[in-house]
Amino acid sequence: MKQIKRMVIGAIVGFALAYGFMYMRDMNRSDDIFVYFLMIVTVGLLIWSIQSYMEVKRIYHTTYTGEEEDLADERKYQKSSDFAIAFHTATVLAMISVAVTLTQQLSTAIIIISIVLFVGSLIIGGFMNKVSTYLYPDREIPKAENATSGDDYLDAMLDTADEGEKFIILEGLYKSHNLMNILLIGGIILATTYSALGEGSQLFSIFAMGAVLIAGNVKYQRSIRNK
Amino acid sequence: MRSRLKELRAREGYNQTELAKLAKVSRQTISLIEREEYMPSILIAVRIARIFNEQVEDVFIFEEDEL
Repeated sequence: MKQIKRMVIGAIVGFALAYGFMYMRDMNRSDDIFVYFLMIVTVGLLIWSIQSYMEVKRIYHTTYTGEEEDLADERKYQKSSDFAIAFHTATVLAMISVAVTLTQQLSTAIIIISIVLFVGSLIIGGFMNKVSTYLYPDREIPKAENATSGDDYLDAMLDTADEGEKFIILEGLYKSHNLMNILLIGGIILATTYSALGEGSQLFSIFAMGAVLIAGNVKYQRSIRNK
Repeated sequence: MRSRLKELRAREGYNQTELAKLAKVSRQTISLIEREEYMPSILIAVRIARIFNEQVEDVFIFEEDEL
């Protein structure tokens, strides 16, 4: 019931956003405004990720004792999560900016800025390994370049976590998997509505979202089935 | 399951980070066990009990209907 409620709310919000965007499309230079907005948010997120990284580094280099040590460790975890949220979101937004600038053939300056922001967010994302070493100074964090395959690297990363951390990861992944399913179904409904009401067909997006939905669920079920 | 971890930690004067190092787990795991949100494996339970020189069943207490 809760999931259905969330899905309905998501579909309504998404529909309102899509309708708003369709309305904006009639305005002059709406694509430019949209990209400027994305760029400002991306810059804000990149600043937030750098601040979070600096805070993790500062805590790592400070000595704490007693209860303060526990609180500092807790804050270090929170700040590393903030870092991950900020750079992941910034990377996706920068990617959308690049996509919009290229497909809508905006000015060269905007294309270059959006590409710079995208590359910048990827570079900042590269600090994730450094954040992991600040978080787990006693652990040997696997390096992506030493892994024979992507799956090997992911397995090695998971193996560095202890049982309590794996429990937290499982809880988070289970929730995000369910949320992703709901959002993708909502996205398909939204794209179908947009196609029916708007001028442009969203069939390709519908197929792409459907494929992601199937791939994600098959991977999840196969992981369970093979155990 | 009820855990006496916080009480025993206070008795020995360990913070979560110190206990985590002794038990070879993360502070997050100790915190989860302490908040009774996670039941540790036998291995971790034995390690923790040994640190406090207690029996496992004296650190992690089960109600009769849980067994």
